[in-house]
Amino acid sequence: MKSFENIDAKSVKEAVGLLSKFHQQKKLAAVVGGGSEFLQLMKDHVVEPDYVINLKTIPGLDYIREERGGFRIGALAKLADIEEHAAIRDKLLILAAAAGDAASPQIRNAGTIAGNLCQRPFCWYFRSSNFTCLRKGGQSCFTVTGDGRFHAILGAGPSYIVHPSDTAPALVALGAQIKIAGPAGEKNIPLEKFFLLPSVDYRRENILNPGEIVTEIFVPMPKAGSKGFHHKLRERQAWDHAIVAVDTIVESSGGVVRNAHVVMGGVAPIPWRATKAEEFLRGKKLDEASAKQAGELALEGAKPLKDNVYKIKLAQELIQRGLLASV
Amino acid sequence: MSYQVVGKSTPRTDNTAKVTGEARYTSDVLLPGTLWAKTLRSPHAHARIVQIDTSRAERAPGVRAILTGNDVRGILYGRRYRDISVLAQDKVRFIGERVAAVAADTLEQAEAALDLIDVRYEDLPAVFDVVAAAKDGAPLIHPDMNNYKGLPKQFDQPTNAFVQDVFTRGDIASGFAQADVIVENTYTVPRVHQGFLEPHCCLVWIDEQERIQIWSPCKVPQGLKSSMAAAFDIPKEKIRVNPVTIGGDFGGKGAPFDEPIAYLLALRSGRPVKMVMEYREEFIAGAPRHSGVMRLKTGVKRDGTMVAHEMEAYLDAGAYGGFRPGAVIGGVAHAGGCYRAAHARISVSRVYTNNLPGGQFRAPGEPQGVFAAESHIDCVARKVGMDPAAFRMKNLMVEGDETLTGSHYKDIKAKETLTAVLKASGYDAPKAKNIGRGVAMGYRGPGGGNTAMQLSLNPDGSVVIHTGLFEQGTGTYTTIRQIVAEELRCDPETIRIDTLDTDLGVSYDSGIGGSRGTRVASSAAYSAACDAREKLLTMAEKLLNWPKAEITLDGDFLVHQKKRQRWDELLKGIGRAITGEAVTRDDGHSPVTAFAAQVAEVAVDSATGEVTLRKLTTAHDTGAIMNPVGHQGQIDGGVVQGVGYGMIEYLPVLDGKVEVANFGEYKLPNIQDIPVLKTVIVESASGVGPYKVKGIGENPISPVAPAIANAIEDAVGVRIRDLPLTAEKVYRALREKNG
Repeated sequence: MKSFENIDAKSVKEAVGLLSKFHQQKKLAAVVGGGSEFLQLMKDHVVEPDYVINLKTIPGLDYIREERGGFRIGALAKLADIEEHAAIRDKLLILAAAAGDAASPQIRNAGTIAGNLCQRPFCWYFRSSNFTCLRKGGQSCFTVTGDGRFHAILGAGPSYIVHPSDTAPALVALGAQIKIAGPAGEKNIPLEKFFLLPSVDYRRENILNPGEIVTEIFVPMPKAGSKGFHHKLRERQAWDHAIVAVDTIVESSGGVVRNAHVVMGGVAPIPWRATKAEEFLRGKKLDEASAKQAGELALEGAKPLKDNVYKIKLAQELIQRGLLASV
Repeated sequence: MSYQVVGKSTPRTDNTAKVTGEARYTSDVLLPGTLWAKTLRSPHAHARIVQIDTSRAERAPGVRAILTGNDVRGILYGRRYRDISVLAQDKVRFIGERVAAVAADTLEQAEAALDLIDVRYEDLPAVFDVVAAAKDGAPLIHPDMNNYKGLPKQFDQPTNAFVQDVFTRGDIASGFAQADVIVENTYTVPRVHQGFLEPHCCLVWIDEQERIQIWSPCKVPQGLKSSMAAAFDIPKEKIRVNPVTIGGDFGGKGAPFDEPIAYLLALRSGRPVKMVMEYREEFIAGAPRHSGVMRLKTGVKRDGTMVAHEMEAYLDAGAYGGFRPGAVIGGVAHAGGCYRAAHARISVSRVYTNNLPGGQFRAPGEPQGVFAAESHIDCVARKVGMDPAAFRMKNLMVEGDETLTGSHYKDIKAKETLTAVLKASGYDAPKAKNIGRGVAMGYRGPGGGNTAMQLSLNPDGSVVIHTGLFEQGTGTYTTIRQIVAEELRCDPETIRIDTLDTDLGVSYDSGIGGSRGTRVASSAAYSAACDAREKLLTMAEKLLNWPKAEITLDGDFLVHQKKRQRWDELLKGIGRAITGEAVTRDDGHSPVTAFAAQVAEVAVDSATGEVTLRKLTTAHDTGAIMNPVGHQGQIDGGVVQGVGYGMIEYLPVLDGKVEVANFGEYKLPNIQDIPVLKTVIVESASGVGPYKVKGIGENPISPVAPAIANAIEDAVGVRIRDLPLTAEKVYRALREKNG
């Protein structure tokens, strides 16, 4: 691992200030929360900053607060705390389940919600120092000619990574907002708009600019009559990323859908919202046939690589199951 | 025979030190002035080295020594077959091959200096496919192979298929002519890494007497010494391998890795040199279990009698073959299975390619061969319309039979073991839709080996076992302690184990491997204990005037009728210790073997192809079980590694380039992936050595993968012939079947 200087930030303002300063000085600086992801990136020589700004020393940024309209979750809240939070389990079960599906208990005890959303891709070409891939400044995405069994079928090109976050699809399905602090102050945006497609920028996964950090997630309370579903399909049953994950929230009455959110993980470079399926479902009675059709619509336009055709069927199947379980 | 200590569950001798962090591993050993070394690895699969320029690196801060292939001309090493270049000489043969080495004051300086070495390569045609590499006209990877030491058989023309073993029995052509039904299939298996926690590492120091002192987690320390002596043509007595704790072996820690490089750097710098592989390096240039392609063809009569069985196996040895004990991998011949057939032909080739080298991993060759054989037997059974278990029962070898590769065993318990597992697993019980059960079998006799052991009873009352065996992590020390305690009637906890370096006491020890630990060591421990007891009692007779035959031992005491005498007091009186000695030379073919039969029960999601392993039942015919908890640990551990091999693990390699760099991507099974494990012991009165033991370390791993594959076919009617058995493959097969 390359040597670096660690700076313990005492406030969000200080962290933002330091990031901006180093950026202006053309030094490479990075922030670290739980460190479970960041340390590995440094060990694998993927990220080699001159300065590491430690956010854990900022007091009071690990809160989980239930308010009238929803939950406010501080950037440093641990995945394990979200997974075990009684009110979240009660009211945002898919979020608790998604947090609990991430990594391993040890990592969930260290890893933070903001860190989970800002993870770098787990593509093996990206992670291995044996490959200089497009995302690391190389000429090509090796997935195209290589082994792309875990890679994207939707929204991909020129890079074919899938977004690794387990909580992101659940949060997008729940309509979460993300708060970003930067040199120009704070802003709130829908989480869905936080992630970037490689066609926009294949060197990064989200809109964070130099000097910006995530400070809070807000999750609105689901409407009455809503039911959620979360399922993550993986090769091994713990400490593994999704082959396909599906998170749905269906608001219905009498078996008729008022509003549905269908989001997939493991299939695209961003949490992938199946808007066509959502539109189709509105006003429909949920049954075997409509759930199946929604699944098919959700995967319309999928362009699999040679090794990941199976993801299409897996995703369709999981969506169908999720919808049927939601009424 | 009833025992006091032997046969009772006994906690491991090494538990406490490992759990508390007191155990001393190679990377804990630091000598004053130690340098750190790293190697520059080739980015090319097959290329000529046109030029290496180290001048910039030589001037880099902290750098003390640099080596390239030019410094090691003509030096080849290996366990017995010696084909490995210490550093690439003139050409590189795989991506990850060591091209240059730097020793520097700090690890960071060594790493930084590597970036300053300029190498110009000129690509050569490469071959990555094992079957293609074995064909005439393939790029020849080792044109000089006929001159390498330890090659079992020379060839008229150099070839990539440097080992070609063929076992024949009867006349295969007439066998197939007699068959009513012939089934032919090809099976493929990937490379898998041993996954030990501690990567390969070493520390080499040339001491003030110019002796080469090595610290290395090698389970065959005497073998390491021999390999080093042979590679550098130095007398063995100049080399000493010092005891360290081994951080996981699983078969992978028997070969020298960076020791030859560290030695040369130590020689050049005059300083101790330490090398620790990063796990990234383990994945790209360790020596994982061989991948392979196996074609099986079996002829049967309409009533299910096997008449002819043929296998042609190609194992991908990668660029170098010397990382395993022999050039030959005998275990693959287990693809003959434990069945009778009058006519058989089993051929196994080990083939050079431009992939990373293949090595040794628990039951070398067997997981590959048994996956192919036991999957295939199921296919054959189904083809003739028989239940796979009934088909096996009909064809299993019985007393008096020899294996298809010509081995003889007595007290064959194949059918008993199969019967036991069928019963315990509920094989015949009704099952719901998409639930399947599959059976698979294997066998393995305990390996042979040599060891010497001493046991001292000291005037201070201590009992010390002196052994040259390095505890590999399987509990051999615990077992030998039990045996000494049994024979001396003392508490095993009071016995200390003194691990000898390769200088002392032991003329030769063949190390751990081949499930031989208990067979070889238990014999030696027993003989050493008997010898010590005999000497003690002889002394007691002389000093106490008690008739030797009437003296018994009880802990610290010698007992005669009502009289008790502490033996340490007698030893204090005469002023010396008593030493029992034993040399076991038990390296022949085992007269007995041990069968394993397993039933896997799976649930398959017919829409997604997801396979859930619900239950795995394993039956073993065993000899005397020395330490039940340790024995069970070996069974559970073997089964878990079998589940990994069957369902999850593989080292993906693309045109010679390994694609994974860490354990996040190289997936080993977790506790969540492990189903209920059930063990059935089929006791056998036969075994080897004073306690009649059989081996257990390697038996449980091999049948797991085919049992799962067979269960999947039972559940949803698709056959997967390529490991691991992933949801994706099952899904594809289901789609093909259902259109």
